[in-house]
Amino acid sequence: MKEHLEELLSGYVDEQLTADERARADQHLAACAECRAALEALRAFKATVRETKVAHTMDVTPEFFWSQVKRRIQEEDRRAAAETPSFGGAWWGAPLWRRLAFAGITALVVAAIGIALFQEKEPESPTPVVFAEVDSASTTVRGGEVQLANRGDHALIVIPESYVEVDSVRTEVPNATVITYESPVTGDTVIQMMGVQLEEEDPRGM
Amino acid sequence: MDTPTSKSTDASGEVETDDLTLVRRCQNGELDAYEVLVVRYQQRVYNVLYGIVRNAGDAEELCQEAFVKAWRSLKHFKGDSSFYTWIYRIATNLGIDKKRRAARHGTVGFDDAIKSDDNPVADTLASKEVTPRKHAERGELRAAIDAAIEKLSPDHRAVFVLYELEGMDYKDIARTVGCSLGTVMSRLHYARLNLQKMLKDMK
Repeated sequence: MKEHLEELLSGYVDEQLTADERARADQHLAACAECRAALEALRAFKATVRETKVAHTMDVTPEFFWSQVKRRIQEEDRRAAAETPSFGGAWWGAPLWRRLAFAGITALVVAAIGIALFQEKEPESPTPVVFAEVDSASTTVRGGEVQLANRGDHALIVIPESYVEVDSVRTEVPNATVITYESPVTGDTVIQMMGVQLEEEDPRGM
Repeated sequence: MDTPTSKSTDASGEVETDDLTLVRRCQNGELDAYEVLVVRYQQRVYNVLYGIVRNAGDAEELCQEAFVKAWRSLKHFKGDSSFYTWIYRIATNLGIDKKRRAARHGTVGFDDAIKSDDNPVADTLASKEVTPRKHAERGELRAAIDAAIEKLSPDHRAVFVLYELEGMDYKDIARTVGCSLGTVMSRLHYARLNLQKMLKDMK
């Protein structure tokens, strides 16, 4: 018997093999005394680990533990709020008339730029932008790519549209400004986010 | 593994809210909902972390860090996996990173001496002497196993702890650690072989 079961033995003992793997293991075990002995040793070891297993308990109560977690979350929130300069956060704390005025000005500026671009050149292929979440410096969306430009502590999205009319201004993200409008070119809803703190990409995707 | 994935009744007779409902509420910024999740999983997450870092203070600190980090990342949680797999993944990665950093600074060393290229079957598994339970009291044996676990590499240790202590199946471990089922089986197997060998050497 040239090849032993090796790691398949653990899968066998733990009953985690597929039906095919188990059948192959059974066939091998019937002919291999070494693997049968290894299987018994593994079972004995596993039983020993189970019998001596000890659950480690935290020294603090769940309530105290939660209070510590909550404190850290709130401290981080306060720190983030203090560090964010504030177009986004402070702006949302501003009176309603200021917010509406800003929304109007933003719409006019965006519209003016859009009209200027439209007059210069007909867009070759209008890019439908359906955008819901920004968490990286360049996000691919349906119909094209939205560039997320980093301006110091702010993120600005450059949307290749020719003309826009702002429908609403709202926020779904802490410290961010979200402007929603319907594209007259594509009919798609566009969500423009400003004041988004860019996060460092975690290589593990977390 | 027992996980509250649907509504069930707790010891006090109150209906428990399922994880996904709580996660959705958390995504709306409700810290009260997060408290329920933290209290529900903190002991299990701590136990896994203790199994990896083998130090109560570090395990508690990392446990807090895992839940804080999870709160920050909850907006990205789409419910493709269960919450417990997801929080375990965060915690396990923190534990493994901690041990790797310690290894880089030379404070600990790992002994994954048995690799798949060796032929461990004849040397270790075949020997029924690898059951020191016959020769030691339960407490001493536990201490010996703990000491041996301490010498496993972080990757092997995490898989061993998740399977043996936490009772996860291979599929959930693969999701938690972020590797294939085959890798889980391989790491677990060679972790066991190394532990058996270390215990044998201790005798």
